[in-house]
Amino acid sequence: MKKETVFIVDDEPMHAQMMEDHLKGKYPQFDIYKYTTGEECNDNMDKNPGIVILDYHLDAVNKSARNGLQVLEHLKKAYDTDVIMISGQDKIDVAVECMRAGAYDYVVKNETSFHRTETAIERLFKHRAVVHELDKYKRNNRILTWGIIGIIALTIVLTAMGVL
Amino acid sequence: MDAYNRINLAFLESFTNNDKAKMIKYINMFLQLAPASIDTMKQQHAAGDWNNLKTTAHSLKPQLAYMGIESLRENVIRIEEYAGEEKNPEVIGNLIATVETGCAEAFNELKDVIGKIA
Repeated sequence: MKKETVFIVDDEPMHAQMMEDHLKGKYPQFDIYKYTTGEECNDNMDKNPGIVILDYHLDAVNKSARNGLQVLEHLKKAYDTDVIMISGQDKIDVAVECMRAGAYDYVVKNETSFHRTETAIERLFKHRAVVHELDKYKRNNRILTWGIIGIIALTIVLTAMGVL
Repeated sequence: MDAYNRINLAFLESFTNNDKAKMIKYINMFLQLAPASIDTMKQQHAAGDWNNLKTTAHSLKPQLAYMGIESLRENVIRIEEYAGEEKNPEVIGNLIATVETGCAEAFNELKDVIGKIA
């Protein structure tokens, strides 16, 4: 299993701690960092997190903090990272809003959120593997196409020269 | 685990794989955080600060779920809803009082749990 840097951005210490413990148990190779605000998360993006687990309500404790949706929009605009949104809101419009803003998945914050986050991470890894295979296929396809074009061009040139 | 009136630690036991040290860690976090959230809700209610009251109730909700305090969680959901709609201030006050009383019982039960498993 490859290493992965994961950020947990949540201002609720209990949920953040439980999420960290759960993920450390399931993925010992992960480097996990916890932050309580989007600003802190942003300041540490040089650690290149592959996954950010981001709370929707980031202004519960610090009222002036940016909310999760604003942080999500910024992350998707500025970095190549996958974001799993977490929220106590089980309203469908909140989930749709997050997915439209580029979240990979949306998990409701309750007793099932730890297992659901793990499932989302597994799905994300499979998705990345498929994208990687597709890129490899496209690259090979390009090489093959240019190879055929080269052979045809060479055949034409050699024919014109009377070699063939 | 003994039967308690307010709490149900089935989730916590499952989540920690019955790891007593982890259970105590999470229970202590709850015992530290929840009373502060209840005090904050009371202050926000008194000040008519509905938007922040909604947020505080929202944050308390999952913590109650982890400790299996389901009956009070329903009350907190109603506080969040009413605060969001900025209506029923009297009902909100009563709900906060119910949550405070119920949580006091839950805190005692959780301290009892710690005493038994520590």
